[in-house]
Amino acid sequence: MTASPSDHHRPAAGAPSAPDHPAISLRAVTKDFGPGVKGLDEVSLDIAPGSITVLLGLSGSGKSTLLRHLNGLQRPTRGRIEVLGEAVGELPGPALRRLRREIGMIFQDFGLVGAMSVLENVCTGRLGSLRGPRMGLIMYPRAVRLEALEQLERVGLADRAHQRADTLSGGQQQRVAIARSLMQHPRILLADEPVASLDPVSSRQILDLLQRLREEDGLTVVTALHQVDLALDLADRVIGLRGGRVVLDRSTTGLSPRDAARIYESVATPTTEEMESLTDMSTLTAARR
Amino acid sequence: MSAAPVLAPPTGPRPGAAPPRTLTRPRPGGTAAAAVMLTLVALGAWSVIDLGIDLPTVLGSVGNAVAFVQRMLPLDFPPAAELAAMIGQTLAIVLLSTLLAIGLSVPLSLAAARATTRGRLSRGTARTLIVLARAIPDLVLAIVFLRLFGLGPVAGILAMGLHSVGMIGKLYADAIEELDDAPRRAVEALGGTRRQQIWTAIPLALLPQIIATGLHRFDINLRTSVLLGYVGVGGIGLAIADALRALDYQRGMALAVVVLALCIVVELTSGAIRAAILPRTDRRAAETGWADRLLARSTGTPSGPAAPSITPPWTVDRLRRLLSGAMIVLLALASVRAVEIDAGTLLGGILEIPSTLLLFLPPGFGGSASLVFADLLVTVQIALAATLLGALLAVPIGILAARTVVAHRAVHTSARLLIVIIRGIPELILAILFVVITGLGAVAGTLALALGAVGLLSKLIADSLEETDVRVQEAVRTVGASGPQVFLAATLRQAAPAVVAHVMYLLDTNIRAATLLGVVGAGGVGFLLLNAARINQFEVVTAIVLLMLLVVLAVEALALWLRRAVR
Repeated sequence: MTASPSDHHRPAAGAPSAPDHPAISLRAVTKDFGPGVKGLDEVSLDIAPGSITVLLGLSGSGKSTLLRHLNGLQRPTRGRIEVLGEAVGELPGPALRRLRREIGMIFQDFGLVGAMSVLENVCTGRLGSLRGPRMGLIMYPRAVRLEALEQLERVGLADRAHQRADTLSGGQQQRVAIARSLMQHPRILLADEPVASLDPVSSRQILDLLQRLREEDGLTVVTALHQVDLALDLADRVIGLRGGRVVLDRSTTGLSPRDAARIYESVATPTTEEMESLTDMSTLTAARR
Repeated sequence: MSAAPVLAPPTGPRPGAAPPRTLTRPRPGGTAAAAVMLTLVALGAWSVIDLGIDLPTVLGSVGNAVAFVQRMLPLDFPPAAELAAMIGQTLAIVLLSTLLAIGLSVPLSLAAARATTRGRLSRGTARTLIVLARAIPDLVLAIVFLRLFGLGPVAGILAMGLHSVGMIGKLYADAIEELDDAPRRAVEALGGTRRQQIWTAIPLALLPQIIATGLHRFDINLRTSVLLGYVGVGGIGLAIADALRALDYQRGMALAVVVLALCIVVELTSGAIRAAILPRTDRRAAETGWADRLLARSTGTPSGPAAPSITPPWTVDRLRRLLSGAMIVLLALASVRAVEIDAGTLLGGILEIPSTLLLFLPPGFGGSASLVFADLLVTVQIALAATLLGALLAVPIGILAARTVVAHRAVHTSARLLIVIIRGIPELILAILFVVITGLGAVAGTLALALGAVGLLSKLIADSLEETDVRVQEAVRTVGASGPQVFLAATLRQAAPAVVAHVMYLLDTNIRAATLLGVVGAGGVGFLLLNAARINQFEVVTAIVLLMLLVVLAVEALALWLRRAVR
């Protein structure tokens, strides 16, 4: 499928063209959330373009924090983050918004406006390249609306275009959210536990979709996941986080589910936060699976 | 839905196919809602014109305003002891009436909520009682109770207490229905009786709402008490009425300033308390401060991982809860002393209820039907015009005051401050001011209500903008959208149904308020109401109340339908 017309595609200024140049690069990134509370602790890593990376770790281990640093929703206390050749942590507002167009993000709770139609929700994905505020489908150019339909078709929901977003099932809503980020023609797709509130079948569909998009659009995908088995099927590489530190970073080839699940189990000196999240049953079952 | 676009299979172009529909077909309900809203705006504009509110009129009154200011200066405050006694009496009346309302509302709302009461009959009865309490204006209740118990605080306490049940009971019932049902079901699943389920799951979860709504009503009742004071209940309101009747503007306005200050203090205090007790998503749970550590040390409990114990440790939170409870009890006892409730009068009054109620029946017009209807129309016009003017001013202020919309701290803090100040001025004081400035009549009432509406509506708009799901805003922000784009696409779209509901609520309150403000000569049917009571034509009071009830019910039905249509 060649749905995304490349005339909308504007590579960020100074974007690296060499394929081996990392899409994302972190150097000694630390995020302090107050005295003694570290969201990220000296994280350094490079992520190659076109790869799928899964972040594993207990709730509170820093997965979301890491993802939110990649598109500047949060800024690091120390260290340097480069995404598509731009230093995210230091970009001023307009430049940050320009960079964000290149980075799609999907969330555990989808982030759709429930009362708005599916199609309009998808259209909002183009806001970064449109001037001025908009409310109502009619305010989006016809070309945008047509492309939104196409993107909905890619995720298999074109027939739901004119329903309210909150009438859809969770899995369908997540596909709408993906269609919304496709409207950005992103080069990187960030996903913060995209299947945590979905049933196994919908989860599998979403992850298959991510894999397909990587192949079709050459997307770089970074996603936080709790399900080790799904992670191993999906990813080229897994990164384990604990207390904001990278404790595991390797390719998925030859990695057994049991080894990967250790990130949840072998907590040598658990912090109180980790102990608390261990009582979270969903985490436990996810780890044991 | 047959309107769904027929698209080619996922891959490949669609040669020759009809262009897909990229716009949603308008729904009949949506179109009707838009038509109704446009009609209301048009009616509002017509009312503004018909009531003769225009810039020249308002500007023409500037001379009056100057003359008035000259007459009210210098302000003449009563001696401190007298003033303190007045304030004390007003606060006592307000506190007791609010506590009475809360005490009545809790059982009523439990009976009215679907989550706690299965029987249709008891639910229906409770709902009807709540609606009835809301429907009868506190002024009318006060007129009845003043006849029963004589001039004085008791009539005011009962009038406001009963009328407040209409709002408090409804909000409590709604809150109970909105509570997470899981805890109750858990108790049900482990074999608890119905009563156990309710006692386990409801009170603690509801407590913040009980207190917050109670505080909110305290604010409202404080303002109402001034109005009721006007008709003889006592406190500051009575003193203002006496001063103004004697044309002693220096004393009257000095007392108005006192009321204003009192309202602002109460508003700020109750706002702070509400903010502290209502669960906030962005607040970290269970933070322990230095005071907690100190407490832990002084009671010998080791800090850090708590030693197992079946009694909860003394924390600042626990102390605070205990002290607040004790304080409410003490204040209530002090209030009972302050208002000097006399058991004999109380009993005598209660015995007289049946015969007094008979005076109000059957409703009749006492030969002035056309006058009643003409004044009723003016009341509705005042409400429509005030809502329109108020909304025009309130929308921008509300947007500026929303923390989630305007990132600049200075902007939203000063907008919030402006709202608090406007809200602080009781509408009665505004109405008195405008009556003096623009003369007796509907213009004064409209301007007073419009200004009051700004205070209420802009706060509601700001709150509902802040209550929108920020995760949705964040999702739209990640596509690179600018602030205004995020606002329109995510924030406003989420808040739109609430904003429509708030404007309709405003219209509803304005109709009631327009009636009451007639008492001070601000136009509309209220003046007739009070006059009828004064000359013992109680059947006219009933007739007017019933007519107002019809209007209010019609507006509420319209509001209900609109809320569904724009959801």
